[in-house]
Amino acid sequence: MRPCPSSTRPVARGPASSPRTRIPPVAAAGALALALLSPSSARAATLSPKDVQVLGKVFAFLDPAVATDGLIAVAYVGGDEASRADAEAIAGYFGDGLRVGGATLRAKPVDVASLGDGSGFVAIVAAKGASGKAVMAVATSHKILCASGELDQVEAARCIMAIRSDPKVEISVNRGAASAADIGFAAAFRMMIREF
Amino acid sequence: MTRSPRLRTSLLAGASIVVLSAVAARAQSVDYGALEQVFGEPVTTSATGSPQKVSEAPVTMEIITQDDIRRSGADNIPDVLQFVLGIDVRRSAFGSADVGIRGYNQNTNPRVLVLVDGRQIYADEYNAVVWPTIPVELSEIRQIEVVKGPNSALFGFNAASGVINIITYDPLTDSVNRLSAQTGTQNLAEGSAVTTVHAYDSAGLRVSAGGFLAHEFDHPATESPPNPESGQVSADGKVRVAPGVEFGLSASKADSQIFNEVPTSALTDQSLRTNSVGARLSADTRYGLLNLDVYRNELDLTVPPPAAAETASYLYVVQANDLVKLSADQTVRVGFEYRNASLDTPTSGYIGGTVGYNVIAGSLMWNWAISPSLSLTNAIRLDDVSLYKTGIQFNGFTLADYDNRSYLAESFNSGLVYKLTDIDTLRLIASRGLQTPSLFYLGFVYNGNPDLNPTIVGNYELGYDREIAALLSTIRMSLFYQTEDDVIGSLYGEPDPMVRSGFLVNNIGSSHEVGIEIGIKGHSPSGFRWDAGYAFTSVTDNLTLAPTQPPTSNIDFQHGTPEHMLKFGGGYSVGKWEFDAAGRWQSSWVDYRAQSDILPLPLALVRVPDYVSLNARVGYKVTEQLTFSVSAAQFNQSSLVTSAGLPTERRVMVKISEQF
Repeated sequence: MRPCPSSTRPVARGPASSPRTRIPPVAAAGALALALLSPSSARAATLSPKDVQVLGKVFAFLDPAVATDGLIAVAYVGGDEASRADAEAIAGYFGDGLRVGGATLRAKPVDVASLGDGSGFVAIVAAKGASGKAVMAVATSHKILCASGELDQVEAARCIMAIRSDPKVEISVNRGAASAADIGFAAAFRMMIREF
Repeated sequence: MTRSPRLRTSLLAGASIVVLSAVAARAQSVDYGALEQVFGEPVTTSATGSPQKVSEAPVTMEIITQDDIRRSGADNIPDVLQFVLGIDVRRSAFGSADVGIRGYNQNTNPRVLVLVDGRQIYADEYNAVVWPTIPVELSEIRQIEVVKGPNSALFGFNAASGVINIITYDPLTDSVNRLSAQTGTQNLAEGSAVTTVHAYDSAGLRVSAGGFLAHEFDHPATESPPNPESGQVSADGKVRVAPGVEFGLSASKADSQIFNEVPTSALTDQSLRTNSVGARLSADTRYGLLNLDVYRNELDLTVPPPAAAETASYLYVVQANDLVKLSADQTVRVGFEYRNASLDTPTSGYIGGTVGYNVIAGSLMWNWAISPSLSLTNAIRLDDVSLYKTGIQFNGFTLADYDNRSYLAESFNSGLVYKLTDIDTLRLIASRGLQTPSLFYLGFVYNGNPDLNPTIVGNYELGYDREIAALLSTIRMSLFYQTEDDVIGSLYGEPDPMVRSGFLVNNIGSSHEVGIEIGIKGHSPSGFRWDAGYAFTSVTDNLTLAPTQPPTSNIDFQHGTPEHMLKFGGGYSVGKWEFDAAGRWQSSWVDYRAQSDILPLPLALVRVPDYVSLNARVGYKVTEQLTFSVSAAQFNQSSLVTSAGLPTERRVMVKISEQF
């Protein structure tokens, strides 16, 4: 058996794999020149499949830890088709669930108005435009994590954690929002994230 | 043997602090594997003591992963390191190698601090590493972290040219079970076994054993080296005693017989026996990540006549530190260290009794995330060193001269990391490191000098990284300037102004170097991986030694550092096959070899010509668990002069390994 340092691994669909391409030497040299001259590429506005994989691994550093199987609410704004489509896409990236230690976390799209008091959910992922007072009220009352791909919403304390995995993994946490929801993180993990 | 009365008190006091603070412990301590999986790149603590992504560390650093080690085909750590840009491996016999970082390599190189999981493994006798005695199997290494440039502010003495921190898998969170057997040229017979057991998800034990037998490289008929052999066994256990509180115990033993260099540049038949024991406690608390580490190393060295030596060196270390994130943008690490190192010989031996030192050190690291794109890290450390000696002396000093000798030594590291864009990072580094005199140089009955000062190494560096998404690669460049003050001389010494014993090991002036490193490393989605790099290092000595012919000193950094190094490598994995090759070209340099192993030693100057060395490996996965591989080291040359020692021979190895 290979070493298995991971306590978190997908049990179903992983991130979309890159297409297999061969780069001819001339094209490679051209790409090198272009890359040296060009700025960073743009990224999608909300969570990507890779972001979701990162999110699954982040649960290993949560305090209190997620110890049992659970459901993640992918919250969207009712009546906003773009938001709902975003939520459905994100929920789809979870496939049949993410393994976190011995637990499996599944996801389903939920209208923000239907979150209730958050009972039945171990975390909330805020889809496009869904971050805000309503989501944070649920996260705070039920003491669960709110994660989003929208950094500005986290900066404004409308959600707790922002995740970006391209070009490098960057995790940002609003300390005030985390504190309000009584969410803590392992010290070593805190050293490696951006807090504000 | 030397024992410190303060050791037990310090240990108990430190343990009490940690246990009391651990009451409010939360989550888990540093888990390299889990953090690497989150952040998608290797994680290190070797730069500041705080876990960091390698791309954000305020030092120039290279990480060699377990995959890199396996694909190198190497069966020893120096052979793995030789393809790292800026690293110079000076091999003088089958089991004898000195590893230098950014020049200044020399026999029994005292400038590179080598650690296993943060614990020192070099022997204070010569301040050198005897690589075959390292109690670690290659297959249990998670990664080797190479820090280029001084890092004494974190690790203390001898992190002068850099640090090599060998990180093994965590017995609590990683499961490593591997067996391998290898044979090849030089009549090599080598075996290795690593296994891990876990209990109740809160306890883990990893046990490893391994060793080799071989024939020494070809040698002149006038020399009769032993056939090299080495064996080691080690155990590393850890228990999670409460959420976020982990307690570990480890022990190791290694025996080696090798043809190995001593500081006089003589190759001698050495029998080395080492053992170590250690305990570690870590706790993730509301007051930060607390660590207490206590360990003891012993090295017994026997050299048969005519050089005839019998020595025992002991090291006791107590380290405690607290790493805490004070606010969203401020992280500090406060550290304390006590260490006692001693070297014993019989009264008739070359120390004439016991020489040792006690060190009490305090350190502080402060990281300030000024903005999302700019961070500043400053670290300082103060070492209070006190010497002592018992026995006899013929060097003109009294035992009181030793007992009254003490000094304070300061070191610092400062690094500014600026992310220009998402793909461009700039590093500005200034640091001051220390190379302490070895116990041998302090206490040798004839030439030892208790008044020796540590060499002060200054480093000023500009680094730049750029990611090239189109090629899935990263370019890394460094431009550095280093100064060396109070260079420590050699046993050949120079006339002592006090006319005590005629010649003493002395501080012999200064030296400085400029250098540049440019490297690129990448891969393709189709499974092709590649790298290339160039390093230039130019050293200028200002030593008080006058050049003579024949030479009267083996200290000659200016001519003893190869100026140019070129490295390149590539590999491809397809189906069950792995193909890898690597090469390096190094320009010529000058080395020294003693013509005898008894003082006084006539020295011979040896010019090491420039050379190209090529390595290759082919691996085939017979089953998911079973791998068969063939590797060749230096396959382009049957014999190469790589130092003033024995010429290095081509090696071909066949290996079968099983992981379960």
